[in-house]
Amino acid sequence: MQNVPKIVRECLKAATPAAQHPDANALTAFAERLLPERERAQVFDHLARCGDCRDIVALALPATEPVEVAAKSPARGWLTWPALRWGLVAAGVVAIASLGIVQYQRGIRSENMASKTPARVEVAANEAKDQSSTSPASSVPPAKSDKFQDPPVSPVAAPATTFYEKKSVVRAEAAGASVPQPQVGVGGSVGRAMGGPLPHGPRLADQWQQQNVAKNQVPAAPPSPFDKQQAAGDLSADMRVPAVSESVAVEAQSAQLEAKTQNLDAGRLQDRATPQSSGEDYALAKVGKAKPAANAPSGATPVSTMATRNFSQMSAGPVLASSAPAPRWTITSTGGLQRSLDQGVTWQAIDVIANPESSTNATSLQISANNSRAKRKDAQALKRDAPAPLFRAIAANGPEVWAGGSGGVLYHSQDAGDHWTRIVPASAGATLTGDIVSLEFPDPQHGKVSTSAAEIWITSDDGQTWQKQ
Amino acid sequence: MKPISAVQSVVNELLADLCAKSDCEKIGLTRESFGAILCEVGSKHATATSSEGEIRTFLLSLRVDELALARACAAGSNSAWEIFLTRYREKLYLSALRIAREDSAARDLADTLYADLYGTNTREGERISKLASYTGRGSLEGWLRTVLSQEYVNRYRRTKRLVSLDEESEEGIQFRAPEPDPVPAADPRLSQATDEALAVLSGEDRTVLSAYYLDGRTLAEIARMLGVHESTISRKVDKLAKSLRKQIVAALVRRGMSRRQAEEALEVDVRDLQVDIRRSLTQESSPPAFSEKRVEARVREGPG
Repeated sequence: MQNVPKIVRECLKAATPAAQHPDANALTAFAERLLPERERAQVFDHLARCGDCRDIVALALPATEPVEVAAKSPARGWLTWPALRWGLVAAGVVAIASLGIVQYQRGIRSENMASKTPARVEVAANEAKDQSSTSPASSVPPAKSDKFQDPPVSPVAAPATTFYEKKSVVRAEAAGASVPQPQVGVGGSVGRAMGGPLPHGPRLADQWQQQNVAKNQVPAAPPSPFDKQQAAGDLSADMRVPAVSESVAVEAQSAQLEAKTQNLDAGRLQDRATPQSSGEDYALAKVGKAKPAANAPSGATPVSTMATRNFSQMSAGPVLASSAPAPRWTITSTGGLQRSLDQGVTWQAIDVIANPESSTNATSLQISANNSRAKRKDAQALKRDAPAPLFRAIAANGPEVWAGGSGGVLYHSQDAGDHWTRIVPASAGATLTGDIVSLEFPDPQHGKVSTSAAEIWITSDDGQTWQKQ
Repeated sequence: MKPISAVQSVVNELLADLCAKSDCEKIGLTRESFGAILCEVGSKHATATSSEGEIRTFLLSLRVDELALARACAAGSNSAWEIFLTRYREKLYLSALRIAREDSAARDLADTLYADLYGTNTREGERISKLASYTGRGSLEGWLRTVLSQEYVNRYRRTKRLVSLDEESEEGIQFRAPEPDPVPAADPRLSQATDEALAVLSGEDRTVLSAYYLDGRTLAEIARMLGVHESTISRKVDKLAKSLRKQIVAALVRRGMSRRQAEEALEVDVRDLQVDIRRSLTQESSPPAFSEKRVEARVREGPG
């Protein structure tokens, strides 16, 4: 930096300040750039002469927020060349592995199909008859849709349960080589879907192959007996549950990346499953999609509904159980929410208005990529219209997050902040309107909200009903 | 129209809107008292030449919600104080800590301000709260930080100058020679030319120069003070230093110096030499024969 002659410093120092200092209001407005030009020039003139007032303006500056800088870094880091390079390598490996496995299994299948298929169909038909005579749900007609038919991959003409047991083992071998814990893999598969590293290679290939087989065999194969097994309604910890999950998931795998989760041990996961909005939505969306395409009698629909719902619930649990460490939350000095998914290293601002809770309406969830742009526009419009809430307190309990602020603003997220619902506590005609000062949610059901007006609101059912104290 | 009556008419016109915007009645301020506050703030700002439009713009630019809160606190409203403490207690302490950079001093500073805000001093039996001087021109949070800074500058800087005798003896200050009296510049043309060059600069430019060269503030700090980017300040300081040098040399040339003489006068400041020699000589305590009189005599002879 260019230096000035000593005499300049002396002259600057010798300048005598005006007797009248600007008051705190003027200095505040000056620092916040709210003064009109004329007054701003007057303050500048004073500051040029008065070292004390310069110090006051400098000391009164608000604290800098390094969070903003930190929040931007992940977006930039994700698009760096090394990440893209490894992504390309991983994609290449997956593609080659898929192709190899498909070719290999297609060769085996073509050998087996010629000799084994007729026998298998006969056995399966007998099985179906037995099932229909003994099962209490036998009145439900079998689904005729080819989407519910499972491809006759097994070379052995065996009863259905055996077939599926074997198939599960085969699939577990294919996928389990790189994923030692399938239950955990469910959660990871959705999160890692875009990265698509090696663990998904065999599984994707298997799905692809399975779909191809289904298409190839449709004209020849009779209605599958396994639909009737599904209709029997035995969707608990039975060995047939994986079969249901698989057959339903196959229908949409060409469009849905989430279908990768289908090859997991659903029976074991069911106990751990918890209802989650995204899972429900997914299931309902699939049902809505299956209806027009299935071309099946109406009786088949409830079966698929149950099956997919069951599947979605099973997949929803591990998403929470296996996710990375619980996110950290903070409120900025300007009342904004921030979340850190990496133990406080980087923080990202969360806009509760831009991320409203997804609707559980099936029709709205059938909308996919075509309408996502329109949704984004709606969200942006909503964001523009509504003022950003000023948060003052936050409580997080795993994925359950509550955030409250001025004017009785209370938001609730059940998925660690991805989607938010505005909650307006009301009891006996009274509504919470004061500033929320503190939030206590020791468990997902019970919570306490304190306001600046010394009101305390209590819920014991996850915010469904409230009591004012 | 006189400014006060003009302000009154504009306030009457806007009062309903501003009251609704500020929610003053919820925190214990009646509409009439809020109207009186707006009149007071407007009259303080308005001049004889202010038009109604200007007064209206000014009143609409005020942060009326924070103004109402501050004035309700000053009036002693409990609900207003609860809101104030909820919003600003933590921030006030953090600001004090940032200013004082030490926990106990920060707490002391914040407590002093709280006493002022609450109004421990009384005038004619009435508490005088500092919050009554807030006019809503900037944010209340910014105003609180400014008031804290003022308190810090007024109080802590002055106490810092009062160093105890024990501290002085620890530092060996009692042996130091007294500060030399400022000696007038050898050539008055130099200071005249510099004053002339500085007088041409705008207040903003002089503020930037003073903050950078006198206060030792960083470019980033100055940029934040002025609300501009750091690179803007960097360019500005560089440009100002260069143009000042040119202007001073030109002014010296106009006053009869050659260009070379002017350049030399800028590079070598006689006062620096005098001060440095005097200091370095007087700090040396060992040779008794080296009396102060001789030092002064040498100084007078030396540079000339």
